[in-house]
Amino acid sequence: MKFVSFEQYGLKSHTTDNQPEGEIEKANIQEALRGVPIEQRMCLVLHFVEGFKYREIAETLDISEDAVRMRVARGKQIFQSLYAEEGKSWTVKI
Amino acid sequence: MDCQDLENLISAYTDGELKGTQLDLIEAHLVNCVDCRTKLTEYNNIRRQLVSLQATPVLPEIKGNVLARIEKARPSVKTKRRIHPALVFIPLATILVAALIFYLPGVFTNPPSVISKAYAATERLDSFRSHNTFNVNFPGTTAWVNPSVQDFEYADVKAYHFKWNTPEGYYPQQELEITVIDNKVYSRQIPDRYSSSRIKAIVESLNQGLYDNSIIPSRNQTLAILTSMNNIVNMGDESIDGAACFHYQGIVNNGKYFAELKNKLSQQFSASDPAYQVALKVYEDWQQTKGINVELWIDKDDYFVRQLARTIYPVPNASNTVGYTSKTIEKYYDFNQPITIRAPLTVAGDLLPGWYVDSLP
Repeated sequence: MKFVSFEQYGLKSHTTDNQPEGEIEKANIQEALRGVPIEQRMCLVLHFVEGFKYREIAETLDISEDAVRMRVARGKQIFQSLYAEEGKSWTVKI
Repeated sequence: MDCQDLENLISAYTDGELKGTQLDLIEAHLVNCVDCRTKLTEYNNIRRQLVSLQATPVLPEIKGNVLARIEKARPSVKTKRRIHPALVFIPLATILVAALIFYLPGVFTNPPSVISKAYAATERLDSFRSHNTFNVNFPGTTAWVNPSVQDFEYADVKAYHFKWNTPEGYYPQQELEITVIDNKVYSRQIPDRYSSSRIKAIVESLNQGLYDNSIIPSRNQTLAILTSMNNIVNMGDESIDGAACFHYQGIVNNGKYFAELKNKLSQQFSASDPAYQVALKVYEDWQQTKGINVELWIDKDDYFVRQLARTIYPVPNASNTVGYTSKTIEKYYDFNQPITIRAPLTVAGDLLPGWYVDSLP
């Protein structure tokens, strides 16, 4: 078994032979999120996954709402660049 | 303040975390800044991606690290799980988007006979209720998300009730409710987002729309839809809530009409009015679309329009206002039934909790 980049073969498909498209996208999202520094990642996870409002994150982490806003925005930017990188290295089992 | 300074605010805007002057600042800026609208679209996409993790079983590893750190620092913290992707509160632009759909001047003078009868039936339409569901689909995805619901009770030009909210179970719960009785405007919103002047601007647009471009489907709006459809196809009969209906599909050709709307708008608002600028941008975006897919269900007995479905496709390189496909299904019922619009007051005449009142000129 070896892993080959889709790009290497000029393929556009986002699916492997046994993994649905949505799962692959989620895996890439998680992989990118994993690379976001912990301070920003905490805010992203609490807001988007756990459903906290900025004010609640501020109270939880004992920081200001402005700081939460900055961390969320910065976290999104880092996530976006990492996700773009993930997209370039999609792999498929052959 | 340049665009880079606004990035944090635009990010927070997409998360529904702005209010007051910051919200007004961003909405006004977005009207005029293409770069920031692009950034807004990017942030919306990121939001969609991250929210999708709510349903994934693989996340605990990442989440666990985060929560472990928090709990180490603050042992009393309890996490909570919300049910669904957060919604950005409906912007005025969206209301106006809905509004303009109802004002599309006629393009043909010889509609099919059923359409003609539906046209004539509006003569008999006085009071009614409507229920509207709205969903959007972001490019590259298959799911219809960000649901919202609107209900109207229309008793008279000077007495109606409008309620917009996210469906129960969706996060965050947000509501906007407006009751208009004569020149009194009662409003309630969760969370507080619109200023008093903004609420009045919304009502002004509704009121003006009673005669031309309202989201309230008065006779004029129904006429406008009926006479604006091109390429009408008979889809066969269909039952809507037990009523046998003709089912038609057509395309509203909107090209030149938005130019007319812009002209009309400029006569109704001052150029510096933020509501005008938002609406103008919406019209300009919509002017670029090829058309709006409309489906009509017309009652076979009384020829009232029982249901209207509209699908609006995104404009290439569009701003957030029409950068996604939106689908609206509106049901009309209780035609000409007695409808009483009540002010949100106690027996003693005091406002009920959470309500505000303003007066129109």
